[in-house]
Amino acid sequence: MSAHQLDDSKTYRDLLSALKPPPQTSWQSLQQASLARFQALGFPTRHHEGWKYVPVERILNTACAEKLSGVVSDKGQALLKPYFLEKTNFERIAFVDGMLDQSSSVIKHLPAGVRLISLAAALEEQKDLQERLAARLTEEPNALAAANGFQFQDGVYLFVPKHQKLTLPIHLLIAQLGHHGNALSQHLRFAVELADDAQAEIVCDHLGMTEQSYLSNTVFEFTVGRHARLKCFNIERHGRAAIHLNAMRFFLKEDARLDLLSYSHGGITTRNDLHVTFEGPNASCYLKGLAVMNDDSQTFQHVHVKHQVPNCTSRQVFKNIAAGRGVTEVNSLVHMVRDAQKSDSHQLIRNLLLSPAAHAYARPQLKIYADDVKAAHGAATGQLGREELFYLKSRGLSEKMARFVLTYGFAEEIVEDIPFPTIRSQIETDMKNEIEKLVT
Amino acid sequence: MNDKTIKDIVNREYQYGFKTEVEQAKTIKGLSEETIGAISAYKQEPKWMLEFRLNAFRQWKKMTEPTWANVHHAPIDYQNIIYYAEPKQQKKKESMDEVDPEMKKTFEKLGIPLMEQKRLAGVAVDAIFDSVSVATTFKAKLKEAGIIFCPFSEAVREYPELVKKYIGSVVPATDNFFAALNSAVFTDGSFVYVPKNTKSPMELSSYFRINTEGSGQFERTLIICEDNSYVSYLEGCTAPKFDTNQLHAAIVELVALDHAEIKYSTVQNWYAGDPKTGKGGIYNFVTKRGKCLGKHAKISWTQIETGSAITWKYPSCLLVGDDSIGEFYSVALTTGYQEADTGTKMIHIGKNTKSTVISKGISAQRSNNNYRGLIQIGKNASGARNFTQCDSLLVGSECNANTFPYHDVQNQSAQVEHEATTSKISDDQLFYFQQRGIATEAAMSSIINGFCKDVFRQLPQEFAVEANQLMDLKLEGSVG
Repeated sequence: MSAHQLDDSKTYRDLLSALKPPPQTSWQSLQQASLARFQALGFPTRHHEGWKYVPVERILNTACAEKLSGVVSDKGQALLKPYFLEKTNFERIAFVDGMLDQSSSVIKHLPAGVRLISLAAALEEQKDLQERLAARLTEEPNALAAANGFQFQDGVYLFVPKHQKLTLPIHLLIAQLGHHGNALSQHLRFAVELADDAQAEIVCDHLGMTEQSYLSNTVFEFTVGRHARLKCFNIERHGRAAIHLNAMRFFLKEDARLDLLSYSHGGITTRNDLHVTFEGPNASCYLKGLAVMNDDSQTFQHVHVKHQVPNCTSRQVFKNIAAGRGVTEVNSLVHMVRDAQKSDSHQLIRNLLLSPAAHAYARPQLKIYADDVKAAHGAATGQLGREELFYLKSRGLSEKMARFVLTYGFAEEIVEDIPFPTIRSQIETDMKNEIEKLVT
Repeated sequence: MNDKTIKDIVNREYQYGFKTEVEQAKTIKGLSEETIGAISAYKQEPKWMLEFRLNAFRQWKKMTEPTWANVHHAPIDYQNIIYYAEPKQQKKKESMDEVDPEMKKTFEKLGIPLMEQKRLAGVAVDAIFDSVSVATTFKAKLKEAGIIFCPFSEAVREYPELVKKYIGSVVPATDNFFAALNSAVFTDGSFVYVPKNTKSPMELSSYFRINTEGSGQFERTLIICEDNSYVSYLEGCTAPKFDTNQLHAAIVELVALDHAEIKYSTVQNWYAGDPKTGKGGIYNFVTKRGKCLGKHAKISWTQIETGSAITWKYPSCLLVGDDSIGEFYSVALTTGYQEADTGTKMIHIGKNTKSTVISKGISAQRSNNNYRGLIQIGKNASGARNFTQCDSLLVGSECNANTFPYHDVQNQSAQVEHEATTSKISDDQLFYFQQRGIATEAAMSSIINGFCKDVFRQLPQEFAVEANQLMDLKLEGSVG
């Protein structure tokens, strides 16, 4: 399948046959639902508003690539070790090259009633889980997230029962080591259910250890019960040639609270679909994101916050630093339906452009159907402030140092909220190195 | 805000919903190369103009009607539209006394300043009554200054070189579906040419009015401002009440050369359909675009949108010349079942170009109000700046207000800022007014006028007065 074949005359059926149907599984009804949804939506093209700037040809080229699978060698283990975050106590489930890697996974202490198992196993056990996931798919707006439903190899199912709090945060390490020569793809799916009044902290750590091209299509579904609290950290550190499609769906019940922090760096094309749906009143979500783009790196953040019920609060801050020929897009929609009275939302997008060829798209959108609400949004795109630079230089800092300090400060506002010292210091070191390159 | 007050004031009739009986000579309905040929022949147009129309028509046939706007309407039957309607009396009048008394009555009801000219000194009116100009005044004074202000069809005959040079240079015939349709069948419009180093001695004003039932209006306006010149152009609209929908697909093209400035103001109050059922009303699908071709050129759009069943327009600026400036000030008020998808496009191409966008949307009753705006900073537009503010106000619980901004920044030295809020009139504000003894309706009116103040301030004085009156009138029918 090559790029020039993607035109309007090509139907999704042709593409489907190329997408290689999965082997026999025990979650047939989920697969059928997702296939039906994918067929209804069709493979995205640039004519679709939501995919206007995304190089879909590139995705198509790898969408039908061979699925990753492999045995992790000792050498691979050694490469991964620094990312095990051993200084902080975590429950760790590791996927290496698309497969669950038992040797890198550690389960230390799970409170009573908490289930942390492979999604394949969970689906086999619980038929109703399959139905719940399938039901959500009928509303899935992203064709490739729908495709994940029939393509996924495995994943994780986490259930936290009522009034229960996870003792340790969960570290989902999704790593690509890469081995053979061909383009590779991995498709993983994660389902998390927090029952009423439950609490959990989850780190979704996407790690690319290879310069080889690969596609990672991951889907996360979080159901956060009444009065439950979820803290989620989405960390993306990819290889230069990586394509990452990441769909995260959050369904918040009454009085639930979500804190999401997303960090993206590396990867030639990264698309994050972050959707939050308020299903019960008085719920709230706080979304923060930082993306750093250099060279040909492109990051597309598609955020959709749906206020379906009254009295919910949403806050968003998305920051992007683009250098080289980097492209950033933040397409964020806050939708308040007629019944969502007394809702309150705030969106902020800030883009920092550091090179002449960098490119920023910002779309802070509002769809407001209720009258007694507050909705505000702001977007700003620009370069480093001349006066700020002058101020720092007047204090004796070199031009380069001044640029570094300002850029780092811009990014740190997001990163400083990561409560896990190992990940934070890794990201800070990463950022320091990257920003040093960007500001010269 | 109590529901009873809303209901009490909602039931107000459209005050300009009258219809003047003036005999009309119509051409056949339907769209074909023959219709276009007939229009061109009626207008005694040169061959190149007919070619321009036919070319646009051929392109139009290949195009499909766009559906991306957030508006809803029944399919339009393009074969069931009267493409040309002209009053029978065609003899030019020297004085107002000769004008059809029926027509004069219409103008009086509308408050068009043909009769008020003496009072509103300095306003030249080129009133277009169903496609043909019936009276043009102050021509001599403008001519003295070297300014050409005439009906478009006259310009095609008298100043073919100017028209040929600039027509389609800002809005190409193939720009979009409705622009292509207009380019094929446009009937008349206004033409303004301001020569070098000339400041127009008066505000130019033109009133459009749709009259014959089922007659689409395809106006075309072209304004050219040469180096160091200035013109302010006012456009105002009202229309009689009809049940069948009427399509209005106009084109406005502005060209500003070095250090030239064009100020284009619109107050629009077309029939918006029955507020109870949403039946009828005007479809206003307009392409308005200005091109700052020269250095330090400036184009400023100001619009007060209160009418039309469906409004679909984006007055835009192409900032080609270095240091050029584009401005967009808009108040869009929707009530009843009205739908508006409006905003602007600021395309920054030249260096150090600046643009300001201030948009205020007020949505009441069951209406649907959308702001859609593009800010594009091109690769070479270093030092470009934009500031956008779009605020929405919701009045009532059955309306909606949407904001769809698009930012496309390709130059690192650009500074683009956007801020927006959506809210309702706060109870605190109302309470403050009420405890000072001011009735709810008056309080609402004051708050909304304050909300729109940034835009009203941009209007020429005559229009500012009219706009205030219009808002009050409209608000009486929609706010409680």
